Amino acid sequence: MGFGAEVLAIVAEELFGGLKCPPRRIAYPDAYTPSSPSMANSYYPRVVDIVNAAREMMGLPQKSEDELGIPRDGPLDIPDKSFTGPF
Amino acid sequence: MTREIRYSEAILEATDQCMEQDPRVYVIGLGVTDPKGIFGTTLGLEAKYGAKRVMDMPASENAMTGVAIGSTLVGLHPIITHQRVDFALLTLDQIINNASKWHYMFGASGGVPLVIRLIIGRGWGQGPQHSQSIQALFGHIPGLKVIMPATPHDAKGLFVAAVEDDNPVIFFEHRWLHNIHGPVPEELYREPIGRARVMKEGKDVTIVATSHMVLESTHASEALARDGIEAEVVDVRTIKPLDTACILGSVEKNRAPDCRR
Repeated sequence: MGFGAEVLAIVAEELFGGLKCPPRRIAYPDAYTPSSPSMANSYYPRVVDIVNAAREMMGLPQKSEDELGIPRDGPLDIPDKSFTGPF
Repeated sequence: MTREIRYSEAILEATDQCMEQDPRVYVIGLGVTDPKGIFGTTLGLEAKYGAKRVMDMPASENAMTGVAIGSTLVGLHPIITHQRVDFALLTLDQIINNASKWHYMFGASGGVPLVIRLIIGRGWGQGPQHSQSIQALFGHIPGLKVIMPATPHDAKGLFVAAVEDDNPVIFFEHRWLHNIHGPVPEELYREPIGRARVMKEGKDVTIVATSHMVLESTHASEALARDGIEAEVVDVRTIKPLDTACILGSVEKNRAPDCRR
């Protein structure tokens, strides 16, 4: 029920017959935003999720971050390495 | 070569220039006079414009939003800031039942030129009450404009457009965007509310994204390109009113949207 749903609804209404495959949404799960880093890492969608959604739509196998050459920067709730404490 | 500044500095500069050009503009919000200055976006404004135009407020968000709306009816242009979108939930009555409908219900008296800055995004220890992303909720309300700039350039241009708008505009900023750098013209300029932008062209798949996820989608398009897949990234910029022509134009070209929130 997020913003992506509205985009897909408009696309379905206007261009349904011409789509090559079903469109995809990538959004937060329908769950509470987490406090702990361990939960954050499995909650927030990341670059690899976008890449694999596109690959799946194109009929290509999934790839890992290492295979894609995407650097892993640590926990998903810390913006950069200079971070030392709570906001 | 255009000068590069941070997203947070772009918001500060836009606020400063809007206040300079229009004495009706004022800033109000919990923490706007704090030494941290809302992630640096209000730093120095109180010293420059005084306590009558830059003011902290009590933690009575709904009442103070009502005060801000009232002040528009006597000609002022408030910018009200909440450090987390979650705190603005208290103000939905004033925003939805008054600000969004004023122009429609009492057209002769004009609209409510109110900018509401709402900060979203994740962060260490923020948890379920301080890091929600509920922009879609605001997008449901007729009479509200909802913007989500992803770059420093758009942050300044859309902020100025929001301040100059005759009706309420909700300005969403993701906390992880505050520190990104990008080219920002020094002079006052506007970006049109209601227009998306193709950030990166591609012919294989369309990725539609907002706010911080525009950057993530751009990184994704680079990873896809290494495997020969050309992804087009559409930065929605304004979720209400939505630029359907831009989105449909891209999808029509690629025929397969991969839609970010």
